Amino acid sequence: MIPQSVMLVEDNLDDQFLARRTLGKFGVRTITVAGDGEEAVELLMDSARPLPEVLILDLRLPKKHGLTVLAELRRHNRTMSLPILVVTSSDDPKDREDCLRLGALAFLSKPLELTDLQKALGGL
Amino acid sequence: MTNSNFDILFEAVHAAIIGTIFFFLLIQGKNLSAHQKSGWHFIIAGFGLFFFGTLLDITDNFSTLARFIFVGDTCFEAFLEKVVGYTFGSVLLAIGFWKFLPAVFPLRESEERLRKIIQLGPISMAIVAMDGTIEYINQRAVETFGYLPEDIPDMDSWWVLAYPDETYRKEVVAQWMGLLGKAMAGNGEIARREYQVTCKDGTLKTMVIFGVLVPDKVFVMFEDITERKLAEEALHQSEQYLQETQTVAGLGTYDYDLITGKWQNSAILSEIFGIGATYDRTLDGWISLIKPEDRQAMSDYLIHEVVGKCGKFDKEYRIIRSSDGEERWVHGLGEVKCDNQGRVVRMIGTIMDITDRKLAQEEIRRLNASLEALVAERTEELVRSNRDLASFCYAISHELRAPVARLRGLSQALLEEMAENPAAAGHCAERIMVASGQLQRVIDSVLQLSRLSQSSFTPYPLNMSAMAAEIATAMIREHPERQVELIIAEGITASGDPALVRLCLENLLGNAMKYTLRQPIARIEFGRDAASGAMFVRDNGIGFNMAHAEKLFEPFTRLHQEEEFAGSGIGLATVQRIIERHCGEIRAEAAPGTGATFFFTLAPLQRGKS
Repeated sequence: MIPQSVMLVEDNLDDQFLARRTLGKFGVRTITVAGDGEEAVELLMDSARPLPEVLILDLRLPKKHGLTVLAELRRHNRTMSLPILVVTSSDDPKDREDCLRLGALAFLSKPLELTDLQKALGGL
Repeated sequence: MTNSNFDILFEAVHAAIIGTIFFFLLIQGKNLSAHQKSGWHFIIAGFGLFFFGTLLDITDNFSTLARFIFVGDTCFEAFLEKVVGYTFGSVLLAIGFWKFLPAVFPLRESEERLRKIIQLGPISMAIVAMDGTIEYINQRAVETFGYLPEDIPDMDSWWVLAYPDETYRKEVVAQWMGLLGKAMAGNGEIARREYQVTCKDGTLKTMVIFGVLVPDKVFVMFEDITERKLAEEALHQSEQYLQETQTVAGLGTYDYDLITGKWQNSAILSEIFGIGATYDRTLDGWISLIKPEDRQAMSDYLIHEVVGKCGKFDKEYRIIRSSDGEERWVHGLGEVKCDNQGRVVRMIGTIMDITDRKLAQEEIRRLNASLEALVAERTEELVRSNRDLASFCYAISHELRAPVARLRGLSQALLEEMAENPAAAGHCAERIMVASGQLQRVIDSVLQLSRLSQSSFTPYPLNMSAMAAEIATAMIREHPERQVELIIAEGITASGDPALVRLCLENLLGNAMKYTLRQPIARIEFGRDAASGAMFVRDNGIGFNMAHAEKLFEPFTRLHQEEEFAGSGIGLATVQRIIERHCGEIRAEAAPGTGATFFFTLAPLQRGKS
């Protein structure tokens, strides 16, 4: 399944660039970018805005760590079942475990690969 | 001549002979000793009567003498002559000889006894004739010296065998002859002297040799004192050894007579106590030597524990040495001797100066304590260092992965865009440059941070105010577009490693500059907090949320969006490391939007100050 709108939570410009590129290749048309965790939660909680179909979440974010964001999103009805893909340069198994436990759909390594996307979102 | 003439002649000769014997014995009898006299009188009487008989025998040849009844040829004369004279005389002679001869035998008997004594006696003896012939040596002599009578027939052979060394022999012979001469002139005793005699088997024996002069002979006696000499020597050596040992060990001995109340001591103890010959050697005298603080306790100990309970004395205590007033530690040991009623009459023991040992013990104790403190300190350091290392490695690895991932992604994109989209490809290439630069910087930061622990540390007194001013003004000069108000308090000094402290200030002041970027007028302050005594760097910049304060000093954590406030990410980690190396502390206070203050010290904070 190819999501039409995706929100990308990433602070580094190059990583944003690369992610956008890959998502574009995947066929995503609308990409919203949040530069930090707080901004991401704000945008997602805004009932005036439509939810993206998929959330791409980096872990090392300023102001609010990715895991905190994940936990928060999972607590709220609105974002409880939002498909979230964690894309991070961390290879810490603990991070992986935490993310999956908190309900992330997948734990992917940077740089984001097309094949990974396909595999992760194929199920949907 | 007629028969009777011959008769008269022979009888006269007979009478003459008997008479001569009688008178001879009578005269000689004066020279006899008492014990011989008992038989002697009988012999004299016997011969007297016999003589009387022989005289009468002559008269019986003259019949004319018959008218005298008792002489001549009468039966009375015959009775006198034969019964009284000859028979009775013979009887008396017999009795006399019988008594006399045993009187000679006792001499033989005592001679026999003497011979047995000499033969079997416990000391070596010899009988030497005046001409030097050795007539006799007893069994003991043979056993002692090993020489058989054949070996030493005379004195010359004795001199040679017994004293093989010529020089010594000459001495001995001269001495013996001299003593012999004195004996002969005086009391007949050859005085006792020591000689080293060589035995047959070559061994040397120490003998005391002396002699007694008997008529025509010298009676020589030998007393073997070899064993005694050895024992004396051993005892002497053992005494010397004891003395030496005591001296070497510094062991003084004492002997305290509780009845007289006085004690005696060895020379070493005098040294230990520093007392002279005239010191008051009583109980009070001893107490006075003890350090005043310890006197009561020691006195009680002696009186109650030792004397009272008949126990041993064993205490280490302090004295004030009498000779120089120096305080010394001593270890006293003693044992008491009690009388029949169980009262203590005497105490003997040793005292040793153990000051050196005590000082060494103190030193060891002190060293151990400081060592333990050192170990505790090191352990803490190590734990902290390990903790740092763990989190550090974690932080580094993550920090490195990000730029590497970026490089990979960008390179991939470059490859893909290269053919179709040169502009995009160009963008990728540029970003690759930037990303690899980032990577480089991360690696450099890591190295810099790691080098901080190994770099040499030489503390100097530092003028912190001057250093801060210098760094800050240089920074301001580099950014002429900025408006910065700089407040540096004067006269702030501290002790630290100049290079490290400089780096620390560069980071803190650099941060202050960076985070006040948004302020129209940046205000950067360096001073000393009156309350805590810590130095501080204060800015009126963007500040941060105190909730995140604990992460502040961790390397690579960012409290602000990356691009906005570019930094190596290890600035504060570096600062913290430097502060730690100085055994100081650092703390941050801030509020979002109103700025931050970093309080720090370059030495352990004194507790108690708020």
